[in-house]
Amino acid sequence: MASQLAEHLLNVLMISSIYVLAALGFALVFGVMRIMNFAHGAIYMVSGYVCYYFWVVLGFGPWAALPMTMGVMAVFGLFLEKVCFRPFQGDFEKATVMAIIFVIVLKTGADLTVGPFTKRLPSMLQSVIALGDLRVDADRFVILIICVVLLTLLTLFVQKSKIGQSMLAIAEDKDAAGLQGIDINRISAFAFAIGCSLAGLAGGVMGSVTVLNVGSADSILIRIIAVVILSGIGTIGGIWTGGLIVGGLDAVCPYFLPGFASDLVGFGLIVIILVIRPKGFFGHEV
Amino acid sequence: MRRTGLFVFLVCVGVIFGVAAQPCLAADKTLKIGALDSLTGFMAPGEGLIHQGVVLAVEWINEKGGITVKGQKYKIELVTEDTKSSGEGMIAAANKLVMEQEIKFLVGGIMNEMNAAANSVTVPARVTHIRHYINMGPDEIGPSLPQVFCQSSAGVAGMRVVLTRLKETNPKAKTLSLIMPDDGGIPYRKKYLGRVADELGYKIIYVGGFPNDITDFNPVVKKALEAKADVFSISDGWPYHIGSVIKTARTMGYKGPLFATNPTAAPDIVEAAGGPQTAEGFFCASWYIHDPKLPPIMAEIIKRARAKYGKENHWHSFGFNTLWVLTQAIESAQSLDPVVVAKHWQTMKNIETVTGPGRMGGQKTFGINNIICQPLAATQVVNGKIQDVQWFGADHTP
Repeated sequence: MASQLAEHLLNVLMISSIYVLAALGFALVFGVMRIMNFAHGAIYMVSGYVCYYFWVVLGFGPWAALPMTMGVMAVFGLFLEKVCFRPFQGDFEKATVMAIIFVIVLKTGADLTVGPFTKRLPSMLQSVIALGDLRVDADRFVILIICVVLLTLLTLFVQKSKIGQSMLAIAEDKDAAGLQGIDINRISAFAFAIGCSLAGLAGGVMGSVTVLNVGSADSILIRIIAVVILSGIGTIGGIWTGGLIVGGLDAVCPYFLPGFASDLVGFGLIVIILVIRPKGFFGHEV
Repeated sequence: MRRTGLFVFLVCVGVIFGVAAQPCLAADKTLKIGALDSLTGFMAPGEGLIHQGVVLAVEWINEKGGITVKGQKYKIELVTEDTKSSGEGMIAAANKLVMEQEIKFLVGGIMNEMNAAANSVTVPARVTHIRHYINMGPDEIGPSLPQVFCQSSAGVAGMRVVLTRLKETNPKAKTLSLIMPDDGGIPYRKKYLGRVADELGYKIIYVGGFPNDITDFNPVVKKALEAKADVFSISDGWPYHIGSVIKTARTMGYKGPLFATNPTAAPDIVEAAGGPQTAEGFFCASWYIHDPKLPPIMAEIIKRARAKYGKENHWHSFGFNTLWVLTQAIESAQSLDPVVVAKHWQTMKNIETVTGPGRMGGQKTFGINNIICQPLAATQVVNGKIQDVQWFGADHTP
């Protein structure tokens, strides 16, 4: 019984932390730029393949491939912000259309190049941890540790650093932040780069838990949006709450419920929470 | 003299026109065949490759001169519509092919929901439609669908093959734990696979489902293993599902027999499982495209797939088979009337398939003789290599 609980807890924490990583990037971009970056799921998906390229094709291994993937996706984020979204800042509809265009471009590109062929990232540690009845892939612990460390560093960065404080200020009140001398464009670029690099890490680590799949772009986007809405639109610090709920439901429901029902119950619960608390747990008016 | 000259002139004119007209009279015509395949969405990784196989078959048939019906040659023109991995996408695609382009022969369809959706368009239009795969629902095959065929009897054939193999390799095994995608097909798989299991002396003690877009197989596999059956198996699902299940089960310490009932791509499963070491011992009812025992057509498919797509895959042969058997049925019926073709097809004694001589089956199992039964192998990972360890004939779906 204890080992079962421990296993469920580990799965909840691991899945939640990956969702939080991915959702934080989305929330950062929305908070700073007021853009719903629907391409975030596709960026996550592409990151898995980028990581595969560095890790397997070029042979750098996981410990180099993951930071390299984050770097590449950060640069991609800078490009996206400068070329595709900055011209439409303030215009919600046009920015949303741009995001959707990018979803199509990225997914179609992946479909045409790597989509048909199954790919899986190798195990990072190639070992199983056995504690009594509990047997767990060691990779899950590693992923959990990586995610927690990075999220802690990011939280500290956002709360303590000048750039992080600027992001929070812009998220709070963009006009006032501009009047205070904050360079909105520069901070927006940072936010986008960080957001995409977080999606890069999430996509990379998830690729060693499950297979790389073009269809994962849609399923992760649904979960990211659920996390952000549950936490509250506009909040960055509260993302953990939404992540734990959505990740927890995904990790546990399939054990207790049949296939289709786990999704139904999971999202049904989210709807109920939103009916009771429409702004989410920590949301504010946007 | 003038009359003679006029006569000769008219004869010459007639001969010239007669000779010039001959190529037009004998010119090849085109037979349009529609393809309903998911080229986008979650089904695309596998179905896209199957569609590539369909394209290869069209090219091969046309290079051989096309098909001949009542003395007239027809080249196949494949018209493809993307079904977008959804029922709505299937209906839209079927409407375009059947209603707008008036196509009478279709290939394609795998998932239960999508197969059922296609019927709303194809059945009233009396189109003859061969599916790549079925999940054995009454909306997919049966006496109410006389013009719907399937190039695979899905789990029934596979279950019979794997359990027959299991009897030899693990004679003490008696109970099964079975998981499958929750795509609407679970009740039908339970029914038909349960019958085959009963017939062969096995008992299915656990059946579990998973959503197609599942992120993590841990909870699903854990629950299935807790049933403590002698054998753990998966019915249907794409290679990325099956590979993930294998990896998860082995990580959890399960060392027993592990199989899949569907004619799936073993190399892709091994990749998805994380390599041959993890997948060691896994087997499925399928065929390994590099098995030297396969007929020459397989080498032809591999050659063409490499030339056109850079790499061959099991699913190329799967899609190739679907189109090929349809054209054989049309030629055998010597008709382009889809109703006539369908009626004739049900009575065909022999039909060539990519794995060898096949036959029509399904009368006893599904109430209609619309299943293409082809030889299948127990394809297994042995000492890190994929092999067809045992071949079974085409009499698996009575």
